Amino acid sequence: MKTPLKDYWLVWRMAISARSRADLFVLGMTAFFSLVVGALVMLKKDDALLAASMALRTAVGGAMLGWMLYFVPGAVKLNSPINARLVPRLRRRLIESTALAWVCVVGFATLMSADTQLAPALVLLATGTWVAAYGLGQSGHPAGSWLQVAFAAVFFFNRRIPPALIDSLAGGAGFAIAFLLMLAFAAYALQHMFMHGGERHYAAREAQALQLERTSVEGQFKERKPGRFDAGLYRWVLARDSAARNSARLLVHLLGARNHWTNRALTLATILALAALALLVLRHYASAETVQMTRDIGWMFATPLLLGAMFDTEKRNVRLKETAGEQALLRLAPPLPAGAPAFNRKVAVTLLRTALLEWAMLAGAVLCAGVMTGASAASLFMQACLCCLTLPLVAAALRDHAHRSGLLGWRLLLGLIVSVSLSLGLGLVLERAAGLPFTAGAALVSIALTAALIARGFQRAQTAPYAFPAGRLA
Amino acid sequence: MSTAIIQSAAISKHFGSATILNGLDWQIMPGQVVGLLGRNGAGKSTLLECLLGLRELDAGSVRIYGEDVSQLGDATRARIGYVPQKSDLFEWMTPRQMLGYFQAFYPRWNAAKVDALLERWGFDKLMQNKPISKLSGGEQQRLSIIRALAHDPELLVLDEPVSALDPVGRRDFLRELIDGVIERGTTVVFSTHILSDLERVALDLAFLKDGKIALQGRLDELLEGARRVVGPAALLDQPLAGELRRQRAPDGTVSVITHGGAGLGALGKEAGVRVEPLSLEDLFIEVTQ
Repeated sequence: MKTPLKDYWLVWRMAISARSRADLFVLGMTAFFSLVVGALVMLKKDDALLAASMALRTAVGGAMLGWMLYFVPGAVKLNSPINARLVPRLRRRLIESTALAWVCVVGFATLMSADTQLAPALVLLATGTWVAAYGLGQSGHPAGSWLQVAFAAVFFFNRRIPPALIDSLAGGAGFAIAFLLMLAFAAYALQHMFMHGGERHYAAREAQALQLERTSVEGQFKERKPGRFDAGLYRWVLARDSAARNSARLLVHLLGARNHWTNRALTLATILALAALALLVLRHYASAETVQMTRDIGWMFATPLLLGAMFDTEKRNVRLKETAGEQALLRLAPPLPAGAPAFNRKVAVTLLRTALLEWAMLAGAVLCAGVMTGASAASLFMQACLCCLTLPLVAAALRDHAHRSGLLGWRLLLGLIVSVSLSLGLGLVLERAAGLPFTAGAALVSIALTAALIARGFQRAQTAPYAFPAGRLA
Repeated sequence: MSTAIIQSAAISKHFGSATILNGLDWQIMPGQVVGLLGRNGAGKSTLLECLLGLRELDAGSVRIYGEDVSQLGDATRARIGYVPQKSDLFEWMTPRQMLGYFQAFYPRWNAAKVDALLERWGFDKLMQNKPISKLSGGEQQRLSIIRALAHDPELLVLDEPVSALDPVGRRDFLRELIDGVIERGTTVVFSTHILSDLERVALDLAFLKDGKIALQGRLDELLEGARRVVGPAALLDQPLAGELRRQRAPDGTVSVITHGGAGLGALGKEAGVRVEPLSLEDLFIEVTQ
């Protein structure tokens, strides 16, 4: 193999090795979906050429997705200020391979648009700019992330763009200028992604590390720097809890400043205030039909807030894993109970209380949003019952923390699906057997299920080893 | 005879198939200042964590102040100070907030000492109100030591407390350890790789090797009694008294490390035999290799 090819191969391997078994995952998933798509097209259309073409498109799409999700973050990580300056050819090869992949992505997307209604020139410009924005975002530059949001907005509101502007970009001088601007932007993005060491690179490294952290699920839940207002509020709460010398309240601080329940309360209050403002504007300026529609189904839009209960659970799990060192110091702190059963009970009560409080705040916010939209009493009742369906999530705080720590991931989702299905199923039975409203029955089952799970969690805590430091026996 | 503060008997600890501690017996007496030595990965941190009950034992038992380490009461825990190897110090808090937080846990808290140490160790107002995550490794380690000393512990366990400190920081720490801790009669157990610090502070040494305390004794006695005997194989073919280690060089000479062995004077007079004293560094290398 010639030296440049060897270099490219090495750079590719090094970049994707930042995530374990990424290459196998990308190849496996790409192969699987290509075969599935090919088989489905064959079954539906009975056209071998079309099936092969669709399978090939899926394969190329999968490879590109893998490149974006795994190679780009890994490559940015690899180009550390030290590597950029001291490792021969590394930075150059990273830039070259990234540029080459961009050309392939843009070329492929443009080719794919050939037999569609989309103008290939516009596809080329849009794909090229988006890919560069993506790379810029991955290197921690805030403009990259904002540009991606702007692209999403264009996707939803493209009908508002004047047709003349679109036509001018689709060919001629307009296209040439836009193309040159795109190239300049891509060059800037590449330069920012792969800096050449020095002070600027060191300064950008923190943002890069933060961005790289966000590419992993666990990284999403890591403690972030609090805003000025959050920090002020937290300072006050911490001083108050320290003065009170209440060990349960002090234990909650193990979860960090951003994850303290006061922060959650502040976030929800802000969301509700913004929603109230939006509803006020809507009432004044929207048509009567829209206002009525808001009253009828507006409450439903607040329901996704309930998913926050899942995020809260995972956030606590990740924080407990991350603060194992701090937990060792707390284990030796005098007022916490001696002996694993009593200690674990204290930890369990504290975590459960926090989980219940955060769930109650979420449910309260959902109901509050319902009231603000002018939902009927029946709708609010249904909403309250829906809130109860997520209540079993609070029991996930009661784990054998010594043996298991970190994300619950799909197990949490699966658990929620099972508990919701069970609640709905038994709710139906209760409706038929006792005439209880379906949602009320489901909510009651969910509450009973929560009680059972909590009882089981406490029983397990009694026999488990010391909960802190979490994950030491994993 | 006074009772041991830490009493460990036949403790074993495995991580997967690796044996870290292997039936280790160790006792720390009141007022003792013990330096724990061992190579990287020998299990010093694990041993200290097991002694404090932060890790479960696979076998054996540990008692601190007569209490089982898994059931330490409030009063006993209030007597212990611990500086972990990695300063995990609630890095989202500021030094002031963190110290206030721990003050809330401890019944006794020497605020005057905390203020004095903060001032002496360069924590000005600005630094005291900066998030701990923004402090350097050395500053975090100094803060960790202040936190551990703040409640005037009677037993202080330090796991490589000076690894991130510069020479000035190390000197300040050792001065505080000697003047403010050891002279008060505090029992100290600390692990370190910096042997010159040990020679200034530790009265006793313990070498950890293969999951056991391979050698333990007073520092001066260990250095006094440790010798390297080098000579022809014909003269050194029999095991020597207090022999710790034996090595044969390619040229046929034999090197024997002994500790406290008698009769070396006569052997040293034999033709071709050298008897040399050992420095602490030599002893560390020879015992832990």
